Amino acid sequence: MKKEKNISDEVDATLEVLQRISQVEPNAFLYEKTMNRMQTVKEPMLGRSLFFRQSLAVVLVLLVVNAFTFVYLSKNMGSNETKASRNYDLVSDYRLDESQNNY
Amino acid sequence: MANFANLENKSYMDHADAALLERLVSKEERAFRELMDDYGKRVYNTCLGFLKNEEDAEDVTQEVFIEVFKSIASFERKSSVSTWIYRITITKCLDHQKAAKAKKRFAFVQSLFGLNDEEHRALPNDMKHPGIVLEDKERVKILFQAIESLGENQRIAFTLCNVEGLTYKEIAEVMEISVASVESLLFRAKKNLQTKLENYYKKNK
Repeated sequence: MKKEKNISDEVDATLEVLQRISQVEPNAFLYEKTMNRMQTVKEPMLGRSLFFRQSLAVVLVLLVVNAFTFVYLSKNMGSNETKASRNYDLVSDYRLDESQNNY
Repeated sequence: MANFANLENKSYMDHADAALLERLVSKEERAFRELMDDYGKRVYNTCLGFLKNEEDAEDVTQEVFIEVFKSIASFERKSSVSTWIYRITITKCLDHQKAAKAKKRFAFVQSLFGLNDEEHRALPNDMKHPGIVLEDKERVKILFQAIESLGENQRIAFTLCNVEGLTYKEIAEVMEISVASVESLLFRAKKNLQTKLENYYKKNK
């Protein structure tokens, strides 16, 4: 019970802090800085370069994942087939064709 | 000049606002300075309320005024200048936060490939709010974390009401919703905050 009261007091005290946040004066040269920035900085470039880098990172990750998948599958998919079994298949196919021709 | 705490006394635009607007549209340099003198502090403090970092707040404040100067000719005068500037401020703050989050999300992948090391080191964003006294710092940090986890609309309404001190009507105009919706958003925001803070203190006490 006492613990709950303590928690409730803490919550109230935390919410009350908002009332004590004071207003702050901005930089005295805000106007000059803004004007200067308006004339010099080309904003979209920042965003474009960020998106380019993000896209590049994603493409690289996908390439690596694809490469691993390719290597993994090429090692595992063909593992049941040996040279002998391949030859046997060819011979049996040939025999099958022969027997079909006889009929 | 009308101010943010005076949005309700208007037929959208008072005389001084209209005169200033005319001068702004005609690109009079002194009008720009006047606008910044009148609204600079409020825009800066709103940005601080959302971003909690003075460098980011200054950066976004500049972006807000650049946007205002660039689009003043297309301002439709359906709302007061202050409401319009508030909308731009909130949009810019949210965009800034989204960009920062996206940066964080990709920072790990970028660092894997050795890209973007400088930006990774300079990632946002420690709380650096000059309007907070030292003894409140820890509590404010906890509170701001809880506010950050609210839904976007709740967060906007709560910040405008409790940090900026706007009335419900003013918030409704800025967010373009009804006063009843603002009341509902604020009620839910407070309730969610209380729950989150209670959970936090239960875990950490």
